[in-house]
Amino acid sequence: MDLLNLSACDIPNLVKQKRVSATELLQAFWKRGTDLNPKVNALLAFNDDAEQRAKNIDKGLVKPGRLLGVPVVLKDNFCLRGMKTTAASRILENFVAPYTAHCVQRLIDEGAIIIAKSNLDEFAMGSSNENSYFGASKNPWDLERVPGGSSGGSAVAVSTRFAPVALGSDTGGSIRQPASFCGVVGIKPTYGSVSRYGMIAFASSLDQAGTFGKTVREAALPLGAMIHRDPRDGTNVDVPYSELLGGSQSLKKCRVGIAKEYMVAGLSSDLSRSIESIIKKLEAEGCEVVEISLPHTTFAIPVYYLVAASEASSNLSRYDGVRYGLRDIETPDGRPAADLAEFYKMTRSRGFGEEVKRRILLGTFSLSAGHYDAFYTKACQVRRLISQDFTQAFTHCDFVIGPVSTDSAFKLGEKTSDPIAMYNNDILTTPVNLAGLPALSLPLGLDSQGLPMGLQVIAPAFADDRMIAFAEALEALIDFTEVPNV
Amino acid sequence: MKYLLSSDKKSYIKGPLREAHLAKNQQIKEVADLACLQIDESEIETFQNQFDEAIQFFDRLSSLDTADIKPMVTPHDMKTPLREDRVVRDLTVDELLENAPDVKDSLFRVPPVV
Repeated sequence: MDLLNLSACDIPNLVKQKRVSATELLQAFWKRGTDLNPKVNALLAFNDDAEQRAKNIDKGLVKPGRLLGVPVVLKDNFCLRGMKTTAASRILENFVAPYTAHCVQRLIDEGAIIIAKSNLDEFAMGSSNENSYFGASKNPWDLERVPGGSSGGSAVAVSTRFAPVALGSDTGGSIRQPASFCGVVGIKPTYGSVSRYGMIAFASSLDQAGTFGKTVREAALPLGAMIHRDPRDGTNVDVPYSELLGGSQSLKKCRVGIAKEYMVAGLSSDLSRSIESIIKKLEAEGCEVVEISLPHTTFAIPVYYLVAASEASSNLSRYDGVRYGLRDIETPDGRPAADLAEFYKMTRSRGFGEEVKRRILLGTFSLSAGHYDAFYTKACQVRRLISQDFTQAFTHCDFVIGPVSTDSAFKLGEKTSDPIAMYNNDILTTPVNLAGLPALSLPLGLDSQGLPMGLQVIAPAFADDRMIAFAEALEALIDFTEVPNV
Repeated sequence: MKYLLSSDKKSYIKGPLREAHLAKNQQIKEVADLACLQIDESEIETFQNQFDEAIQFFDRLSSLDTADIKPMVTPHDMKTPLREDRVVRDLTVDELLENAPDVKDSLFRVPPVV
């Protein structure tokens, strides 16, 4: 049996029926990770408790839930009690989580095995994984290219078969963009669906946990368990569907919107051709494809970076070297901190990387007296216009489809010296987060360079179940079967 | 002395953002001070240039009339959820102090404050 390519959806039954043992499955993925991680740097740490957990499953000591025996990789901004949770930052390099994130506990309660923690851009701030304190992860399709970010490690982990599914977080595209760059499925649910309790905060009004899988159904499997009411997150809400995988969506009479602003001039010709091809296939299936407009798309990047940086500057003020995390009490020349203010500055300056500092500075500036209205409030007003664009668009269509990014994976180092060029990379993903909508990326094919391209599907808020059913129908039309040769 | 907006770039900034910006003419060091960050002398120019570029980039928003638009601070209109007011046992004091760099008698120890 090809253990590494088993569907996560089949594993629970196979384990329950003892046709596959959780231990042999874990060992297969563990060996794969041990052998290949040095090449791709996707995993930051293996979970020492995983082996005992697998043994307990094989002994029948674990309640057989919908994820029984399924190995799961966690992006290293999800807390797992007793395991280091670093957010790929020096400031949390030695932080051991004293509690487990709500959504992770839900996976454990359903029988999952947390196998490892994955690499990310520091505090999830980045689009390439190059902002990790532990070095960038590499794209398994071309080791000289980025895997995307910030959840690059999780996308690589699924693409390279270190686990069948993985968790990520999506603040401005951090699940969908790496999924598209690595040829896997990545789902970001509606904002508020998954509790953020235990997920290290970056920008609280945008952050949302989600999943990666080889297929839509596999990615949706753990997500269904994670969507669960939790009073510890004040923005967590009840969803209107009972089962995420319970929806159905016929392509016939389905109205699909193509946003003219997403088919921008900078879109690669391969991507443009592939999207046109899928449009023809959808029409042949009886779909009504309509052009829609999202006129404020061009403002999404400045709005996103103002809102996200402002919220980050507030969220990251908690890292002060007092209660947890790195502490620096001496200046580089060996002098002790003169007072508490200097101590804070020394700790934070040594603990945060360059991009994190840049965003804290921008956020602090936009929230400071005299600038608040012109920057932060203005951004929040335009955010509403972006959200209203989608409300208007969904009166004409059931789903919006389009590219995830304007091109496939770029080369390592290509954009690191130009933050604005890096930020612009997120133009097609950030509007979704600003509006709080569900969206996913599924593989569309390989471009002329042999690199994966992704197709984005966007749905109205809380229509996650219908979006997943529609994406499964699309997935069958596309029939992407390629895997990277690492 | 470097400012957030060097004089040769003023012409790029228009509208209310420009006025807000010029009213303060704040230094990157001052912003860093507010954020409790130290910026090395060697990094100041790079941060300064990137900061200027970002501010110009954000100025794109000033072309939109948003006078009657209510700011959207979170995606869904929601009320603050209330919970029952009862004590719940969560982490112990020892668990909460496990990651603290310096502890004495269940207290966090810090350098002199005054």
